[in-house]
Amino acid sequence: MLLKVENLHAQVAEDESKQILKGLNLEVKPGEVHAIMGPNGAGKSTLSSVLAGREDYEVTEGHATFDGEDLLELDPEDRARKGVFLAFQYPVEIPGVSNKLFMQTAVNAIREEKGLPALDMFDFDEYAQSKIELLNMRKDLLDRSVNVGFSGGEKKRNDIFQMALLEPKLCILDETDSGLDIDAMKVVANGVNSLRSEDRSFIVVTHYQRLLNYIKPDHVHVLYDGKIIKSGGFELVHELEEKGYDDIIQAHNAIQTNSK
Amino acid sequence: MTLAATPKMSPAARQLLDQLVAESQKLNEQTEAEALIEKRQAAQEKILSQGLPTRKDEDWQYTALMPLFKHTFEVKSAKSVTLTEIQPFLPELDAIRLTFIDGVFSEELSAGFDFIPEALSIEMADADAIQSINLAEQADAFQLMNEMLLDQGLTLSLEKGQALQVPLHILHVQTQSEQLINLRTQIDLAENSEMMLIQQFVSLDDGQSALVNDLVKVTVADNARFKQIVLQDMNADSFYFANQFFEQAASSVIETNYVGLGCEISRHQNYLMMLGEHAESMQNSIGLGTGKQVIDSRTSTTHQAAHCDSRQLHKLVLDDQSRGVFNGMIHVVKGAQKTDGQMDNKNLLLSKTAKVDAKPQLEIYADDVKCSHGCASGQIDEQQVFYAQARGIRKADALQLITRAFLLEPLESVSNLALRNWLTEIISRKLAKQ
Amino acid sequence: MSEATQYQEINDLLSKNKGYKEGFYTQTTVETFEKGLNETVVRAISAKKNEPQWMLDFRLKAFEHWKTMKEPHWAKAEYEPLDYQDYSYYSAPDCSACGDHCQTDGADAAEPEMDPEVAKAFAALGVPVYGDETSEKTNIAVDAIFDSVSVSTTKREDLAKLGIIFCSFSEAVQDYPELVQKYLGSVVPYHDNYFAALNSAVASDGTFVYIPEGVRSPIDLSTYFRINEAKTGQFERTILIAEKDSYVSYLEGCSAPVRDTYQLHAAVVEVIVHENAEVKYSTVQNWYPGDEDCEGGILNFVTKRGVCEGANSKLSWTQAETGSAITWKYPSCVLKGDNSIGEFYSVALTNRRQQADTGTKMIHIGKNTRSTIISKGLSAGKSDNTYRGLVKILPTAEGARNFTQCDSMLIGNQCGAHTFPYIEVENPTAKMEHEATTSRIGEDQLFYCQQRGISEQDAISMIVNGFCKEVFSELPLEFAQEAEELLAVSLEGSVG
Repeated sequence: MLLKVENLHAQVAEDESKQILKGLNLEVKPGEVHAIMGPNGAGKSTLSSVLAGREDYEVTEGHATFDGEDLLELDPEDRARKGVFLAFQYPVEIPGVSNKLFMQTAVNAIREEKGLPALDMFDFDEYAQSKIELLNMRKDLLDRSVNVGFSGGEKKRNDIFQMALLEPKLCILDETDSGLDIDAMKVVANGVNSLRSEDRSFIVVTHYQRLLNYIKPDHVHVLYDGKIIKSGGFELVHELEEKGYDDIIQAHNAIQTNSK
Repeated sequence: MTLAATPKMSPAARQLLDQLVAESQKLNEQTEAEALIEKRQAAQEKILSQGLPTRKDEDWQYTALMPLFKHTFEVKSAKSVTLTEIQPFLPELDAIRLTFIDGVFSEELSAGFDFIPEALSIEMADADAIQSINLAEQADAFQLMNEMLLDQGLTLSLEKGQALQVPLHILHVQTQSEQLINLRTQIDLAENSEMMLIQQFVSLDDGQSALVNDLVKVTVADNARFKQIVLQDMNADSFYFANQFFEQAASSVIETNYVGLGCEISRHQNYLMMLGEHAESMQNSIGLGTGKQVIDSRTSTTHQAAHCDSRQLHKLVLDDQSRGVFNGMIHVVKGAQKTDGQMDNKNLLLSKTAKVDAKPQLEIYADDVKCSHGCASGQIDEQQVFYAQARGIRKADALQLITRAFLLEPLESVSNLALRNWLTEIISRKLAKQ
Repeated sequence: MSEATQYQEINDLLSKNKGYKEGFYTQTTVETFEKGLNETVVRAISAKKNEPQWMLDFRLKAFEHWKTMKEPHWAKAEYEPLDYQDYSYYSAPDCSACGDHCQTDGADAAEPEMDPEVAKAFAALGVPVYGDETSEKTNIAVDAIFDSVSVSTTKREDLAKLGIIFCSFSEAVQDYPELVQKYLGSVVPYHDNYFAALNSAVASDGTFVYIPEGVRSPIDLSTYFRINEAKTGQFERTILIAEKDSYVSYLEGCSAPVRDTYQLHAAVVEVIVHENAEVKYSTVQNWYPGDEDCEGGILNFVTKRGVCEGANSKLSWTQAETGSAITWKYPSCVLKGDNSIGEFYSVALTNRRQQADTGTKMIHIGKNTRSTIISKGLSAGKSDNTYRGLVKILPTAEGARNFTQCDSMLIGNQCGAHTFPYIEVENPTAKMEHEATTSRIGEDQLFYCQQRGISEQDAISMIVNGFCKEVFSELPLEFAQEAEELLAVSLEGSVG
């Protein structure tokens, strides 16, 4: 098991009234692609943030283990070094810091963790160029400041480019499809598909099914009110497409009421 | 009183100061209340020990007071004025109107009393009901002057949860030469109340110089909203100095707009303290200088609490030999996190001999803040003028059109359309005259 | 700066030692004047340097004036009034006391006589004081100043072939009296301000640079200042003259040993740029900032001013200020010549209880003069960092342009960042724009970096260097590296 999340409860840090995750369970095996879908406000982005270790959220109950280790105890950079990658819903701009410097520092930090020697400038350049082609990124990407002056789509692609460079074990895509036009989405999907392998898993968090038509998930979960209320295979995507979230939510609520 | 330690001053400045202190003494002779006499004396002593400002004082480096020192101002009793005489100054606007002639309230020239709700109290209070100013270290000379000449003050207070349905319009008409008009206003807005205040300063005739020294204190409680327009359009021989102190509590809103058109020297200073979280403030000003006018607009904004927003836009257009000054300070104290402070100053110079001095300052002691200031000066963009000309607009008209648009931008925040149109018209009139 | 160096820099940075590494003290025989300041001391300094009468007169006039002045305290920096009688106004390694006759023979003769301890000190600081050294920095001429005197000036004969004069100020007084007399006090008069007056009275040593007409200096010229003795003031006087159509890039660096009492540094720099000439003046200031509370650090009160005398001339100041307990410094440009250009690029970092009040003055006099101000202030710890600047556009400055950008970054919640710009415009055709922002290292940026495996400390140094990039790219390569390293060292312990 690569990732095992049990009964996870989380709230906005220092604000008990804002309980967002209310007992979430999830298991991801190596090589699997999971899609987490849900309406706005269900807790999708909170789940991504909590797994990556953002301090804005506080875990109040439950566990999460990654590769057998307690994930929740680790600092964000240590989670990254162990192979957790988050593609941000809103990738951050860092004025003045070039992509090259940024990613070389990151790649070497992760190589250090794996016990590999650091890449020097030439090796890194060569390595980066191959990925730039793969993702059809602009040629001057490396010389530009991280995400500064990038369009929304470029920022998302840059995150996928970083994912390709860091070769993580678990990739969490947080609403990566939002704001992408169809061409950009194909590029992102191609990038993701080319990275799919037996020992790399994905959690694709999204509101819509359209990205999932390009990245076919093995498992689909519906997140609502801080919990996974329904799981299934790819057919669930089509069900949602046809009926929307309301049906599933109503069915779920009915069960809740009956059991009380 | 010993004058041994008096500071360096020009003979003219000394003469004016002595004259004003004598005016203060005259008031004391007519006063029985011991406490008030002492209050004035404390201010007298302070101003005598400090002297009137010179250009060596950092805060007065750009505002030379020499023209002021040529005068001998006196407190005079009010002349009688008819409604027909003041009619041209009045906006067509439903409002509660309080008219003051030479600083004295005139009931017959006032109007709109029907609009006064019970929740609003308007009083001419005796000096003992007025809060003293802080005679701290280096008090501003005009504040001290105001204190030592304090006689009566206007107090306005609005009860909790009440909103004035129409603006409260205070009209000050100045009618005589060499007249000293000392004004004090104290405004209290209780929780969740709302008021729109218009203060208008005009001269009945040209050529008669007066000195208006206004001191305003405004306290705005939680969730209350205070909006203010100050329109200073006195004759070109007069002088105007205003010091406005604002204190605002949590989630309150203050919007203040100053329009400075008249006077030989005018200086309008806001001191705004944001004391409660999530308070919002907006301070704008418009200054249009012609001839040898000096137009000085300044703000000091203190973010004392976290999560407050302050916005400022100050515009100066200067023609002939006029001089414009903008001085703004945003002060963010330690702990005032998530402050968002923005201050913009834009100036247009229309003549070779006009001048502008700007000092947009930031002083920041909290780390999680977003503060910025911008300042730009220049002349009218010739491309814009040409573009208008190419569409058949005469050059003079084009210049005026562009200047007017530049100058009026801060008024976009005035939501009362009738009020905005009235201000626009007054400003346009002055622009057309130059 | 290329990406390559920047990348190299990060790796260096990761393995960096902590603290103020320049803080060692050199044990050497010195001649130091008794503490105290009076006319006799001023005369003695002049006599020690064997100065002509006119120089002594200049000193005495300045000293008389200084006595009538008051120590300024308007800057946003708090310090107790200094006891000027508690400092020594002259200190020199013993050997160079005989410098006068050595130096008349030029550098070659002077060098072998350098105190070996002093030479070691400069070697430890990475300053190539021997011109023939096969170090990586050989493409640079160095004037090394130890306390009150210049101990070595390298590469002089190479430069002399081009007609470039590069020597210590003391030598220039002896060897080029006409030039010194012509320019001394011409940009910064002795009565300009309190510290300029003090400097004029007790000026110790400094550098004199003269670039003749039409000559582009093929190498960078540089001065390295070192204060060694305790309770010694350093009052260097630097004059740089660029004649018509000439070019020079001049760099200065400075450091001092760790002390527990304040040391005083009050320098004056005068730059004169003639028609079509260009001067780049770069400074990396790393004076000892003091202990954790900045006790014992250097008080750095400096007057730097240049005049763009001729048409199309250009003067560019670049500075990285990381040291000193208090910095009070406003390198300025007087833009007299038509079309002349003034530039000011500054990074000022304050940490602990350091106080920096720095900025520039751009005085536009000539037509179509242009100035650019880029100032980056970083405050950490309990420090205060102030930008104070004046842009003055006089009525004659038809078509003048100014662009000012001053950004502040706060690191931690105990520090302060302040911006006090003065803008005075007296010509309608002038266009000036001023922008200022204050921000901090944002949590979202740090988290983004951490999510990519980069630790918080590394993320901060990366972001800080990014913030300063526009300024560092103006510094000569080696200086840029040094400045970045200094930033990293100075920032240590500022977060978390």
